[in-house]
Amino acid sequence: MAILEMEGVSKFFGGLAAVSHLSFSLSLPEEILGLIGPNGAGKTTVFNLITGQYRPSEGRIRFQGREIGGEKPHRIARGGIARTFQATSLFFEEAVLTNILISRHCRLKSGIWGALVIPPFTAEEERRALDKSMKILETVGLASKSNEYPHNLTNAEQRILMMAMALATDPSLVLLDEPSAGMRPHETLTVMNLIRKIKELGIGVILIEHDMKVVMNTCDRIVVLNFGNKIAEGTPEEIRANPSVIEAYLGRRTRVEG
Amino acid sequence: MKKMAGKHWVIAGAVLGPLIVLPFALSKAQLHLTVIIEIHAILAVSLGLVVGFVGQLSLCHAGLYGIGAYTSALLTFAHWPFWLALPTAGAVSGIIGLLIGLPSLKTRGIYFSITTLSFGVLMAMVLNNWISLTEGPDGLSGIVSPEAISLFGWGTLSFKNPTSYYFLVGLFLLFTIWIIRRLLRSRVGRAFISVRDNETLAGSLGIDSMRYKLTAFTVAAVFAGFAGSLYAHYLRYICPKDFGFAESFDLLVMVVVGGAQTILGPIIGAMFILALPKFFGYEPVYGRVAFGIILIVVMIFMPQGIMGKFQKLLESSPGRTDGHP
Repeated sequence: MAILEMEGVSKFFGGLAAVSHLSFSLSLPEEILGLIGPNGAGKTTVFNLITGQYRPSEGRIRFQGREIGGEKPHRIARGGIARTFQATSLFFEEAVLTNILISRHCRLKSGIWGALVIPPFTAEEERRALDKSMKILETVGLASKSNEYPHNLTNAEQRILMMAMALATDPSLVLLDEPSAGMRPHETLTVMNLIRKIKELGIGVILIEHDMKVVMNTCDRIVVLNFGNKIAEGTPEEIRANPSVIEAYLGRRTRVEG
Repeated sequence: MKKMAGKHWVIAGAVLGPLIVLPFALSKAQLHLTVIIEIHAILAVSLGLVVGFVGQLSLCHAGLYGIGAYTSALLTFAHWPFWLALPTAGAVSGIIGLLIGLPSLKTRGIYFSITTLSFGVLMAMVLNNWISLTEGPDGLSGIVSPEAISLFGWGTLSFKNPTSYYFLVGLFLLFTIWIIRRLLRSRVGRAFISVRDNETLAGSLGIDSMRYKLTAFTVAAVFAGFAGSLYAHYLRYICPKDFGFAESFDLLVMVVVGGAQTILGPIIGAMFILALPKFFGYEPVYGRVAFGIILIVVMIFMPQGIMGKFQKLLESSPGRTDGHP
């Protein structure tokens, strides 16, 4: 069964179609799907549609069989779709561990009365949340930085923290928006390993990425967008050989008359 | 852990000890000012929750304060005991706060401020014009003092004198601080801060920002209602102009000058704003000008407020290696 299905989804901004009649699906629960295309192709718009930042102008988005198009972002996140952002987006005023604890929010239950009376249930829940948060930081290799503030981290560490925060929401699908942006080669390798680790955890991944080395080496399948349209879909090998993809990236070959 | 707790008790003793002796050392006028500062401290600390920890610049806190004051005064006119009118005033302000928050919090940033400003003006207008209920601009006079409490064989505690009122309001201030501190250290408090720091990110992590903004706004409204009741039965006379826009604005200045992102900062702000003009006197030219200049200087050199600056200094003092610049 497909965990995510996009069926003829379009998004218009005024007369401009940022995404038009897009259909694709993520069939296996632990598949890595690459979403590539030139700048302005509509990749991030697709993420914003799936996570509820934008309401689709037409078409359906189904997650685990349930229609989610146009639902509020926080409800979609609770339902099991987490994302990272293209621009590093963190709670910069809070320590690394607190960033993860905040991200655990939707899996915890204590409300305002729990905060005032602190019954044993709340105390126990807080303890478990702290343990779980440390475990997540260990998984991504940031445990030693748990008390640091984000602005004391490197760009790569900040972007990995953003991925850790997405994982802290216990998602079944993670949308990664250029996770390796601005990274050095060895840092990119760390991110690639982390993406594979996410797959091993049984979590689906949709990956927007400009670094073709990352895309070709991690993705099981790739969807190529150009001007809001899907121009190709297939395995990395098929995409590499697809003439319309080459054209979209490099332009049409013109004969120079001598 | 245990040592830390011990240290906290020492600090608490050092602060609370002098506060217990204080009312006996002050003149009548000074004590009156201190009670007024305490009431404003409750207002400023609760407004600080909305402004400093959820990041919503509300401009109708004085209106909610007024609703509490009038509710409590009118209920005691209908022969309710003060001790029942006080919690009811909190509840009524809380409900009005919830009703104002529902539409206002759908707007963001400056639009939220303007919406709450309008609601603040609206509440003052209702107090001014619903003459059959509120006596309009004349205000309500002859409000009763809280009934004396029996001390089980040790006589009774009357609240007709400012000294016992000082302790009554002081207890409420401690209660306010305690509740807000507990909230901020919980899952709910983390959600507040996440909404303040980055609402889009908070939403993408499953945090319902509207719900938490509304929670903070309502909690603050309840405390504004308590403060209103305490004010009405202390002065025993209230009128609409005590609860207008100027008052909302003063409260906001207290929060910002004291340190919006600290729990105790707004108390410093209340002391600063209410006590400082007394030193300059109310001589309209030099006094107000000097006060205005001090405010400007504070805001230029301490944009994070007095308490915020103090905390930053502590963090960057030698001996702490994890401090950031």
